[in-house]
Amino acid sequence: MYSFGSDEYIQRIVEVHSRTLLRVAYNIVRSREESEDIVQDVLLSLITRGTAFDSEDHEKAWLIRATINKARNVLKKNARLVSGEQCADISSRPAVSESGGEVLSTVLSLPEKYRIPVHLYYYEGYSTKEISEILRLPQPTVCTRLSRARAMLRDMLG
Amino acid sequence: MDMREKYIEEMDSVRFSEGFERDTVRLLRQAAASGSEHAKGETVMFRKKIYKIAAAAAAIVILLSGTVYAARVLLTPSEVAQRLGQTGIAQAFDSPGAVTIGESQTFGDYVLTLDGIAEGKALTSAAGEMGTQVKQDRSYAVFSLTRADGTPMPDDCLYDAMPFTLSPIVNGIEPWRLSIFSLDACVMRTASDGTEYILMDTENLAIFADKGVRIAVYEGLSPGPEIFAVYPGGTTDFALGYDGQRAMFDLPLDPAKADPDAARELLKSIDEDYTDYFIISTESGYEDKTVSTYDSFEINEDNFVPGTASDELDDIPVPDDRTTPTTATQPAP
Repeated sequence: MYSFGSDEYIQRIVEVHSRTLLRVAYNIVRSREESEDIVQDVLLSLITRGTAFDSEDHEKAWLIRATINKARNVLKKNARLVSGEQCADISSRPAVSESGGEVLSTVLSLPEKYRIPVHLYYYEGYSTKEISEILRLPQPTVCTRLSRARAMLRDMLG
Repeated sequence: MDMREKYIEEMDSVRFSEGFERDTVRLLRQAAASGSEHAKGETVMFRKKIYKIAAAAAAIVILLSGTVYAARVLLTPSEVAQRLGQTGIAQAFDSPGAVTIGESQTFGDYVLTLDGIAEGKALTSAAGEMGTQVKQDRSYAVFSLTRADGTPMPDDCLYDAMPFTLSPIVNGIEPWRLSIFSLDACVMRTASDGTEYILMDTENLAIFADKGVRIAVYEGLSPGPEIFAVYPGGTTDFALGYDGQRAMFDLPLDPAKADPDAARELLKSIDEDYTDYFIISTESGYEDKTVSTYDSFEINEDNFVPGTASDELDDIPVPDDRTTPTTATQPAP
């Protein structure tokens, strides 16, 4: 076990989590550059605040949740900047898939409340119970959102 | 291939910056080192755009003293911006509103010179893919960094990582609330002919012109109350208890360009944006906790003068003499 804040700890935390966190952030903000900013913010928060965890799973869940919150903050701020309004519809941002993939583009075009469960379930392999804990939502709500997301994707992808 | 496999494949095909992990490790190590330098585990604040800022913080990384030397500027601010590929900013520095300054301060073996400032609406390449619709007023400053003994800066000077930071500060407003870390800043660096150049791009500083705006140079990253204080009379300056290296450059902004409404809105936005979210593990799952960055610092009573900082912009008095440069070779008032 590495001591918190040591070079080895930092190396591990970046190597183990940055890939996951970048994709979680990208799923929300749909911008690679902003995703990188967000992930660095989150990892800095971890390092500078000395947050300790019971396990690597707990650590990962915390980082994912923090990344989601940071990314949502960025979306809200950008919505204000773009629209000049306090309550701009943050879901109105056009989906951009920088890979050009049809499925990814379609997933990214879903409302954010559907995108994150889809990503955590299909990409990260979390169970609906684990997603409910990360998102602090009732498990049935997660199941409903996944079901609706699948239905929308089927329609959209033909 | 089913939809899940396609999604994973396409998500995996999204390419992030090649050096992201390497740069992040470097940044975190710097943060950890900086934090460990502060006594009693005081919280160190890092903000958005730190990835870009950290490189500049590392650049301003020098031992400070107060002697003033003549500037050695090889490139003009406009040329610096051009060299960095920022055509719009270069035009701002060529415009009539740009101000040539040329004030130098010697920092041990180095000299830091504020070459000039300008305002404009140009987007930097770092403004982000979301920023294509954003046309805000921005402030720009160009610094040059040379060795005091005249020897050229080393070829790898852009990769130096020493714990100094430069940041705009505004009188009456705590730097841990408003600084380069909350001003949506981008700092770019380039080097030419033995001189390093630093281009700072921030939110529009002119909106605070009636209060007095300066650029502070200090050790470490976090502009916390162990380094800065807001003093009676409305001056924000180095804290009495701060014994680190320091420098301060006055920005000759036109008070007529002050925009209290815009300043108030920016501060409100900063306060909203810089709330941190935490998750606490409990027996029943996870609980959210929000903590304002503003509240997260431990106030050092030796440095902080209670009641002099104000959330109300209109309550911040204009310092008696903002035209006197505060080079901070002496302790703050």
